This record gives sequence, C-alpha cells and structure tokens, in this order.
Amino acid sequence: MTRVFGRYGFARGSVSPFFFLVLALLSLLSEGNGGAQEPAYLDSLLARSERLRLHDDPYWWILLHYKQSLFGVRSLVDDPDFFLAEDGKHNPRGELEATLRGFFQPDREEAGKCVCRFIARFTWLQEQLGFDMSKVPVSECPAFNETVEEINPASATLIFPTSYVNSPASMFGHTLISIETSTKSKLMSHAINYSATGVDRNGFLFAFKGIFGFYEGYFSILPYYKKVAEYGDISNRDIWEYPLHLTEEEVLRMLRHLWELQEIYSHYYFFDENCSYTLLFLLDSARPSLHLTDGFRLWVMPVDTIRAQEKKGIIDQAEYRPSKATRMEYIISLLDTDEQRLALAVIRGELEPADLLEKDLDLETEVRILDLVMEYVQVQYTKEELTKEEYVERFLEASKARSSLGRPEGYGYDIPTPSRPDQGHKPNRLSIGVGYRAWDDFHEDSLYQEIRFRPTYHDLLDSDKGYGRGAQIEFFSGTLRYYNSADRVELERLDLLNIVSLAPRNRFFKPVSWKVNTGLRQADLQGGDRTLVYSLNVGGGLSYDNRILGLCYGMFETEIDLGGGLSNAHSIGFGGTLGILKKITEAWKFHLLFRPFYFVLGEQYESLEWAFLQQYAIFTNMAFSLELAGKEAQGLYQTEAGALVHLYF
Amino acid sequence: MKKVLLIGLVMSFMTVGLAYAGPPKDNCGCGWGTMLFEGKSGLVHQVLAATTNGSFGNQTFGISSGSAMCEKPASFASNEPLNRFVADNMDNLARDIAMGQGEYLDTLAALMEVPMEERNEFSVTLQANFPDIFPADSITHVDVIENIARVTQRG
Repeated sequence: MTRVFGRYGFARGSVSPFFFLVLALLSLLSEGNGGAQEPAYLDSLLARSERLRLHDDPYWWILLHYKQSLFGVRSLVDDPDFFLAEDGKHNPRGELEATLRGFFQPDREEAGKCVCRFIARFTWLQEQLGFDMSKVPVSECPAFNETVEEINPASATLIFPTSYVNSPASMFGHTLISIETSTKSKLMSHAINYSATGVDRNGFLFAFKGIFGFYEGYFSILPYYKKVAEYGDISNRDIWEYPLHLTEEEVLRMLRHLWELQEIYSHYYFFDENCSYTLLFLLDSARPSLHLTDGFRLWVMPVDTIRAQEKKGIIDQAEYRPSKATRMEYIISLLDTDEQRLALAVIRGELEPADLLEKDLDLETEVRILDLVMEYVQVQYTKEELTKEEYVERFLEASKARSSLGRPEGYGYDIPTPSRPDQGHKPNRLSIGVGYRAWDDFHEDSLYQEIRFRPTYHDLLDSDKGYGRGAQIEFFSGTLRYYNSADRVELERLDLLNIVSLAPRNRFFKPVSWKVNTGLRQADLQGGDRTLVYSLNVGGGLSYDNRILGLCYGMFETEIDLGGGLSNAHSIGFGGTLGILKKITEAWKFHLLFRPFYFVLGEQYESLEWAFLQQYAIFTNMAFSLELAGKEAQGLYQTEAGALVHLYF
Repeated sequence: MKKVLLIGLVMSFMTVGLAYAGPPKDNCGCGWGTMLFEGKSGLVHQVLAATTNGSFGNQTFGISSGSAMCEKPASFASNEPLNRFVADNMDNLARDIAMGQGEYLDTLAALMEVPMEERNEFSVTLQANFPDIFPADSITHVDVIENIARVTQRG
C-alpha cells in the first residue's frame, strides 16, 4: 500500500499547527475503541459490496476502464499506480476490495491519501454502500475540493479542431473537452486533453511505436486559450465547439474521474485507444448510461465519436471558431487586386502603415488591410520568417495605425459557417460498379463488374461537405474486378495509404501540394500481361485556384515498383500529374488528369494515363460516379468506362 | 539516366518535405511573441501524429500549479487569472485592442470585472489609447496591465 501511495501527496504547505493538534487528539481518541471497530465495519462493507455485486456494476467498470476481451477482463489503463490490488488490472472484484481496504485502513494519513487518490471511487462507493461517516477515517479530499472551487465548473463543451488540408498530422482531427466556469469567458475555460507523451522525432520510430502502443498517453489540463492558439492560430485548424448537455453534478463526476487519472498513463494507440476514445471514459463517468466507450471497434475516428455523442443526445448545437488562416482568407476575399498588393507592400515593410492611411482609400478598405496585416505578421513570426525585432516593429506599427481608425459602422467579419464535420459523409465507403474495358490487341474487350471498399476516409471527389477542400486521405482502400470475357477476378489495386493534399497558392500564401501513395497495383508488361506490384509513389508540386477552371495542380512524382513479374523484379521511374478539380455544384465535382511517366530502371517503359472522373452526391451518404480513363503503356493502349454507386457508412 | 532519376527522387522528397510545418511548441511566457514555433519534421512523423495531434508537451495538470510568472503589476496584483491571461495572450490582445473588438478584449473586460454596460466605452477607450498601452517594443504584461488600469482609471 505504501509503495502505491508513497509518491502522492496532495497536502498543501500551509496547514496550521492547530490542525495537527486536533488531528493528533482525534487519533488518540479513536485509538482505543476505533481501532477495534473499524475492521468489523470494513468487513460488513465488504460483505455488503459482495452481496450487491458492486464489482460487476457498470460504473465500477467505467471508473477502472475495464473491458471484456477474448482473453478475459482487462483495464485499458496500464499504469500500475492506478490499481491497489496486485492483479487489479484484470480483477474488478479484487480491486474493489483493495480499494475499500485502502479507504478504511487504520493509518489515517494513508487512508486520506487513498481518498485523495481515488476520489471518484470513494464518492461512488459511499453512495452505493452508504458509509457511516463517523466510521470513515477520512471523508473528503481537501485538495480536490480546492481545485473544484478554483475551476468552478458549470458546464462542459466538446471541442473538435478539424483537420487542415496541408498538414497530415491533423488528418482526422482531434477532440478535447473544455470545462467552463459560470463567470469567465470561453477562452478562460479549462481544456482537458488526452495525448501521447515523449514521442520520438524520428518518423519511422514514431509510426511504429504509435501503432503498437509504445507511447504513454496522459491527460492534461491547460487554459483553453492555449489550445486555441495551438490549433486555431498556429496549425490553421478551424475549431468546432459542441456544448455538452451535462448537469453540474455530471460535470463534477467527470472532474472526479479526471482527478483520479492525473499522472496515470495508458498505452496510446493511434488507431483505437487514442485521444478521442479515451476521452469518452470521461463522458461515461459523467453519465454512465451513455455507454460511449462500448461502441467502437478497430479504430476510432474523432468525428465518429462526435456522431456517437450526438446520437446519445448529449450534443446537438455547434459553434464555429474559424482559424487565423480562415479569417485571413476571408479578409483577402474582400480585397481587390490593387488592395491586396497594398496589403502585401505593408506586410513586406515597403509601405509604412501610416503612409497607407495617406492613400486615397475608403475607411473600410484601410481597416481591412490593416486587420489583415496584423494577423499576417503574427503568422510570419510563428513561422520564423521574421525576427522578433522585425515582427514587433511591424506589428506595433500596423496596430497603432489600425487603432487610429476606430470602429467603422457595421464593422466586423461575418465569416460564413461551413458544414459541420459530423454532418458530412461517413468515412467507410463501399462502391459497386460496372464498366467496359477496351483492351489491347492481346485481350478481348470485356465487360467488368467491380467492388471497392475504403474504410477511411475521404477522397478528392467525395463531397466536401464537412470536410476540408483539396484533401484526400485513404487507408486500405481496395478494388476487385470481375472480367466477363476472361471469367476472372483480379485485384486492381489495394492502397495501404493514399494521401493527396492540394493547397492552392495565392499572393499571400505559398503552400506546397504533395501526395503519397503506397500499396499494391497492377503494372503493365510487354505483350499485354499485367502483374501485381508493390508500389510507392510520392510527389510534390503546386496548386492554384481559378475561378472558372477550379483547382488546377501540377506535381512532379517518382515511383518505385517491386514485383516478381517485373524485369529484375523492379521498376523505378519519374513523371507527374497535371489535373483540374472542379466543383460544379455543391454536390457535383469533376476531376480531369494527365499522368506521363517514364520508368527508367528495371522494367523500362513509358506510360501516359488520362482520366475524366465525375461524382454526384445524391444524398450525404450516397453518391454516383462516372469514370472515363485511358492508358498507354508498353506501347499498348487501353480505355475503360465505368459507373459506380458509392455508399458511405 | 540514373542521375536524372536520382535528382528526380531527391526533388520530389524535398518538395514533400517542404510541405510540413512542425508541431507547435507549448507556449508560455511574458512580453511579446508568446507564440513560438518549432522547426520542421519528417513525413511519417506528421502522418502518424494524426491522432496524437501534436500536443507534444507533457504538461500535466497546469491549473493547480499556475504558469511561471515573471512579476506582478501593482494594480490587479491579486488577479492571478488576469495576469496569466495577459501574459499568455499579449499579441492577440493587442490586435483586439487595435481593432476595438474581439474575444480577447472581451475576456480582458470580464477578468477586470468591467460591467456589461461599460464594456463598449472600455473598448473605445483602450482603442483610442493604444499607443499609450503598448508604447514600446520591450514592454511586459505588467506594463500593459498597469497602462490599461491607468487609461481606464480602474484598478
């Protein structure tokens, strides 16, 4: 017992000597009879908890993060300090007994530590067993009470920073919970965040350890403004705030459980036991009837946890907090070309903000330009494009000029609210289609039927509603085809990972577009044969937004293919893609692309592919697409036309 | 040919590498420039940071300890949340004051317990006195709070 609690002490420094005196007196008084009574009382409590089968109670399982698996019961918490029983990780009953023994041990100080360590367990057991308070060695945790007083919890909000188009680190978004006080503003609320700690800088190590749970995840609390700065200002991620319909008592229960989890780790798994999943234990602890931690398999997408919470009725409304990048893009959209140039001149230090005001501009334009400049130089500083001195000077000059303009009538930026992430299509996609393939001289033209499956998440042609524009992230996406003429089923492709990020450039922002695609695909051989190869394709390039054409992009790419069917079992080459992605209506998109490629090592050949793809979203979770594609490779030409129905679930 | 290929490979990896900005550093500090950024990092790292989401700091339970403070202003000395807020959000607060509105300005007003009906006047006063509140480039949150207290005659 001492080992477990030795490290923890929540006693504050300034306890008056009088307190100790009283404590000493009390313990003297209780020495005589109390010492004999407590074990008997403890025994009766143990017997009662056994009779009530409290160790089987769902709430006990929530507090301990127990889950039934194929191999029996285990807690998802991995920190040995979270358990009082030696086998507590696998033994709900033993852990409950050890917990009661901890609360009722004769050593008052140790009992007090125990209560402070496990305030949620204590409160719940007290409710279930109705402790006789005169027989409880220590009945509350002053440190916890002080913290509650400080936080003054009134309500809670689920926070969802969305993903940002050009940063794969943000790809699925993230969730955290903020706890608001009754009086202060949102920025001052407390953000509860679960994240992996001590992660490696080495990418491959990071990937490996993350997937297989080598990192330890801890909860943390920070002022919400720090999270807003991290996600909204620095990572360019819009934030959605979903107020949780929890009562004050429920929020307090959540805090008690959170308190128990401080400095307690669980192994962090990117795909299932991640930030969004572990956060659900807090919500279950607030209201056990939600059963939010029960409903997930294999992997947990943050937005799916939002849908689950919506289904349970604890969220419905959402507020949109545009990122700094979104705010700037909006202001830019209000400026014409000349005004944008002026803004850039101020940003670059070529035009003093004070001189801008001398120009013959209307007040509204001056205000917009300076608002943009202030935000923009902040970003330049965070990107280390400006030294601190340069930044401070430009920022202060612009701010001073801006402050002299006051607040014009009707001032403010009414940034349009996009569709909510949870209202977009669901991430799993099953597609069924038919098509016709006009093959080369060696094969008979053939009808085909195909089936595609993609467990996550979004591709360029899927509706943007609720998703970022120009981003594609797919894992384990596969296509099987049955060719009628050959009476054969073929695996067309199986992408392990397929990411495309098209980030348009403009006068102010110069992001790079890029892609990574790896997996199995069919490669063409001489004489018309095809062979399955493992392929790694990466590319980088530029995108531009054109009002008429849409998103136009060009990428330079290299590809490495490996497979027994290739000459010397490999084929390495370079090439690129030129494409146009256009949204014709909210539901209808097309994608036109050309891909010349030169394979120069191993199996050597040239290829030219083109495709014209269209997709129409009939409903949020159903779409229809038409695909026309052609390819010339190894001197042979093939074209195909297909139609597909996509179902999202 | 091999050389061409090699250059091609290097180029495409380079362009991919350029696309990333690293995870944000946990930020906390006094004076200007509270948002600092760390350098760039590799692809896979970024790809798989997906669900850990970049909170690379392992600051556990910041609330009870409070952030490290440099010094305290004479006015509002006991208003710890105000001190912390201004210290941590100097840049955004300055922007809001210059604009005459915004969430950071509202939060400042709430922390200073400015009554609702006086909030508008409070914002206007601060905006009009921007050069006095942020007079030089080396001021700290202490100066800012004291200047705000002075120009609004509060504290």
